[in-house]
Amino acid sequence: MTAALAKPRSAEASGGGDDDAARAAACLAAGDWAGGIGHLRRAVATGDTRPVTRVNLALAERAVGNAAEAERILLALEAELPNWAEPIARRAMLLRAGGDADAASVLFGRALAVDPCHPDALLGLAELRLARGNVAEALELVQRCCVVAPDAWAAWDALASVQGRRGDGQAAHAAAARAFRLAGAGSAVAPIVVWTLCLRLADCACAAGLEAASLALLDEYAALNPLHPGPLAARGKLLCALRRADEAADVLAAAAMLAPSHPVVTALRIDALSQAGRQTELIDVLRAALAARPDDPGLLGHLGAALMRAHRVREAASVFRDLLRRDGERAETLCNLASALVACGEQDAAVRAAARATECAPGLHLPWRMLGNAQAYAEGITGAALLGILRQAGLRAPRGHLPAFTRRPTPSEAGKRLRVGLLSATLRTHPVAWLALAGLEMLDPAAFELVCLAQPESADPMQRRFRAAAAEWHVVGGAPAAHARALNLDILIDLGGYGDHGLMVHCAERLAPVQVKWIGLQNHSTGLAEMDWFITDRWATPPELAGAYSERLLLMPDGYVCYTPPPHAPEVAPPPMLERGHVTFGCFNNYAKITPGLISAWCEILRAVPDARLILKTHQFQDAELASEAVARFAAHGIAPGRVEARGMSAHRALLAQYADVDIVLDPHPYSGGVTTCEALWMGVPVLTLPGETFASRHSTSHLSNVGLPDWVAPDRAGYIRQALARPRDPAALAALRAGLRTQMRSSPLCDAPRFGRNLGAALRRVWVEACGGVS
Amino acid sequence: MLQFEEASHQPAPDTLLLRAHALAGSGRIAAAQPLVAAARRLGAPPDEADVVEAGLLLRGGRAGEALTLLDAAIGRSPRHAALREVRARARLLTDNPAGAALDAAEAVAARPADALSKATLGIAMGELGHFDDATACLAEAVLADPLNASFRLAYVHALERAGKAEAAAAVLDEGLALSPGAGTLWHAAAHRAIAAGAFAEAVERCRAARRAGVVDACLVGMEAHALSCLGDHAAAADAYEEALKLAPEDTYVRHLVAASGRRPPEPRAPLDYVRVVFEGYADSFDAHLLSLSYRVPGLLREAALAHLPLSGDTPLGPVIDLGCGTGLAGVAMSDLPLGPWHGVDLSPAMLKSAAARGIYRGLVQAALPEALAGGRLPEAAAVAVAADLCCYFGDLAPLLAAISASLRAGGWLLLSAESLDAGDAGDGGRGWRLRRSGRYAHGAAYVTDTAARAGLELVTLRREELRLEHGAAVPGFIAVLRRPVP
Repeated sequence: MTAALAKPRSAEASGGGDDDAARAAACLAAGDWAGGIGHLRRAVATGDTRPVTRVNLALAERAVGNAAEAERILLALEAELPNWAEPIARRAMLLRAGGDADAASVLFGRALAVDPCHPDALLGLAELRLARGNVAEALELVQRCCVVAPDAWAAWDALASVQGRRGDGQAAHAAAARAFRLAGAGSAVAPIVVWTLCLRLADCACAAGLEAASLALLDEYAALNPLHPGPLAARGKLLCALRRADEAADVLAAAAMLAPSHPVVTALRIDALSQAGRQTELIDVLRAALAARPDDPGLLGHLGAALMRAHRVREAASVFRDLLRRDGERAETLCNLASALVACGEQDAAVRAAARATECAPGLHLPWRMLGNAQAYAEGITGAALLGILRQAGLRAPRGHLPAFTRRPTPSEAGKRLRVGLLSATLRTHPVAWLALAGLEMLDPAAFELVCLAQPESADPMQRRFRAAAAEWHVVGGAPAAHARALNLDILIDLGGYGDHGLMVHCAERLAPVQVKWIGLQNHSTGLAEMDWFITDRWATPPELAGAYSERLLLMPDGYVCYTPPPHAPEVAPPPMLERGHVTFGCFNNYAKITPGLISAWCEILRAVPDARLILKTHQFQDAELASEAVARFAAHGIAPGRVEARGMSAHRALLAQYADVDIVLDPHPYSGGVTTCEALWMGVPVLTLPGETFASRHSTSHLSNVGLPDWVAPDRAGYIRQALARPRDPAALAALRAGLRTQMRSSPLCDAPRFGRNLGAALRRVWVEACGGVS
Repeated sequence: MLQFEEASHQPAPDTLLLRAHALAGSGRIAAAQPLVAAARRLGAPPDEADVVEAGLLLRGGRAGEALTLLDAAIGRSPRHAALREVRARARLLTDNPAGAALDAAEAVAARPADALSKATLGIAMGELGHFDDATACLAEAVLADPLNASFRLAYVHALERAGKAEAAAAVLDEGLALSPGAGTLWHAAAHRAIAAGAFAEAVERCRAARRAGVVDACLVGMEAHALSCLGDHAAAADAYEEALKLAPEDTYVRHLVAASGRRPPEPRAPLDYVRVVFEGYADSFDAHLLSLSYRVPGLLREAALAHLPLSGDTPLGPVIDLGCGTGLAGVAMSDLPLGPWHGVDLSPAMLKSAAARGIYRGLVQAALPEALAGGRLPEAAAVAVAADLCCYFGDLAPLLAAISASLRAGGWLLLSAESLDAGDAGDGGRGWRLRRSGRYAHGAAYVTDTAARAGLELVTLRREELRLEHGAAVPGFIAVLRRPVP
């Protein structure tokens, strides 16, 4: 209402300058203060002494920055027309804009004493009351304004604001929708007001859970205002809240075409593109935003994260270093840097960064968790040392935000159909799915019902299988622990660990009577006191290493996972050495697993077999610079660059097909391959592994033993090198093994889903019966 | 209050339209639509904006709205080739092939090198039955854009309809050689083989597709079907299991996996399964059943003559025909003093055929037994007919209870059921079993016991051979049941 032309209640004095006044009115109605002021000055100069003209001149002077002149005009009017509230209210606004809230309050009060129904005075005073936290009085004032000016959008918008502040989302949304409708076609509403109304509506709709209902309202508005990005931005916000992130990102892309550098559009796009996982676009948007605001730590943090997700890890590390320089040494940034450095194959530097983060914020959970994640990749790590770090992380996990968990299963519940929760944001095409899904699908539905606490629904084929197997699918929102608690689960299985989007930390709040850690960044014991069991097997956790776990070990009779071979896998190809005349080693694992010591061992092998080749393939090698660096690390050991090939990411089928180029996989240590090992075996390529003490170092040992290849598990580094040299000397044996390996694997327990499902069901029942007070 | 600086930015309308077109091409309709609106407000040429907007409407399944827009635009710019081409596609989608042909011909005349216009013209000509013209146009379209799978499939379809099966096969094979990753071409190849009864070839096609990296539920499902037709039931079951992994929510495939014994059976066939089976069959249903020596309607007629009180002057009715299909039971008994007839079936295509017989006073498209409680069928029916209905239910209790409740006191139920083998107590001793055919078989004692619990007395039960399956008789029984008079 502040932009509307004031109309005096008293009789108007007449005067000259009608044309100028009319033109000024048109300018002011369009928000064109600069255009209007000339007309107004002329009108007043030529004798138009009407109060309305003089008030408008004051408004225009204020709008163009002449606050003193505005005040002079208004004071004169107050003196001439003491019973007219308008100039008093306008002067109060001037004072408020100038930061003098106390004086403004007094003046608004005076205006209301003269005219208790003056809308601007009511709203102005309400805003000041709200700023001081006096919500009840603000509400009363705004409600009065809505009564006296029921057709004024500003009154209803203010009511929405106050109701939102009170936490009454429904009332706030109703008021916002009314303001929105009153603004109507928007012809008389300044563009900046359109922004206000659109975003208020979106905010209120999100708070009230009325996102879907508000979309139609925005559509109508957008049809009438096709050039204004506001309705599109608000629509994007609502779609994001509805978890329709792709649509949101599309609509916001359209908004950006209309307002390329608008900060609201940019912020919403970043959110939508992050949610939608459209990293390339996200990086472009962030880079553009950073060009305007290069020091913005939020943008830099987002950029680093996006680069990480896009596997541009070297760039990500550089961004995080830049952020440290610009924003100071913060624990979160150090953790992100550590994460990027691990991915760059710089395990020791990553450990140092994470350790520094623990020093910056010793009481926080995150740095210790990051230190554990980094140490799992670092050479020389022992099971006990890793457990020690993870215990520190576990001690610092947030607790106490929920009431104490009091449910105790009773003996009478021992045989019930169990509600088994799966906690993970990666129930989709992901190693978790390749290694867990087939067994979960085979759980007896009469004895178990699966409840997924997971990411939003999508068309991902593996997620569709999870959904088909599950009785319930819950999208984990802002309060995962409370959400999980409300589901009354009997057993909760964590399938995410401390990985990206991992939710395991919430288990510290105790979400179910029995909590179990299974795959999903299962690099070692969780160190979490509330984690009751750890699913493993006799190869992954032999008795002598059991002490390095904080949980009780739930030993599966076969391996700890069940592999789902991908239906799109190509046929097994013959060993390339038969045609090429030399052996080709390969490792398609994450570059984070390639340590200096491992490279040293591999170089020993390559030096001993001078015609041998090594293929490294990992998503990080999308970055050509990093790929070159990797090859150079071998050259530093005297290996000619041509003997080591660094290949980047490819689609899954193409990745599998590239095992046709590999004779023997050299497993990394101390972080061995998991699903990567299974894939190599499925493609007929044997894997040579060297286990250590941590769980992460023994994944391949379990899979190889389970599939009947325990002789490919080396006892020590020397044995690893010895076998790598010996195996290629018998090409016929390698070819025979390769030809039959898929069949051997298919009929092994590693791929026997019904068998695994029965074993898993029995194991879960056992721990449940024990929790009920029975004998397991 | 929120306050924002207003960014003043007015992109060029052409830029907006180009961007909208690009977004539409990648299926991002939500992003494209506002840009078209903005371009219009900024003065974009209306014809160009209409082309983009109509394309968006077509992609969004709103062909009617697209037509309205295009009619107005072409009224204004009758020679605009792109408008004509889009309207041709809109007309094809709204069953107006003649109009589509006219528009597409205009578009081709204006832009002779445009493959899309030629393809659209070819499709329209094919719809009009002008197969030579259709194949000529589509051949040119394929020549101009040999990697376009849609054009090629339309060409193959037109050649088939022109009776040039060998040429169609050659065109398809050429496409597969050029684009071995084109899933739709592999689908067509496998489907053609199955339709021709060349099941071994179909299996090979599906496996070749997999070797080429095309793996989807449709192909694996076709492979399973073809293997099943070849009698290799173990391999078929493997393939169905694999198909279910690729389409885990597909209840049709899930039912077939259960039928193969790899999963516990559901107590009834999923509605989607029944719907798919019958929608696909509607055109050839009667002929298909004839080829299987389908006897159920005649057997039910015999039972009606033998047991129902049909001697009065007033027809006994109303009759509710449950799962009426194309109305074969109604036809078989149409000369008996029964009626009026009311039918219910899940399949709209089946109901269309039943309506054409002129026997039924009312036909309802609905699922059973839910339809019996819905108030859409006559209450207190005198006769209920369930011909070949029980085979889609394992557990008959809900069905028989609903039928019983819909009969008047003294009302009759005539039903057929496939029977379990001698000595078979059914799955888990439940009295019913899901067979490999995807149909449920029941024990006679189970049916009579379940009927009794539903309040239906057995009048008679007679064992019969119902039809042939792979040349062998399918044993079953015809039962007459009655709701007692209090």
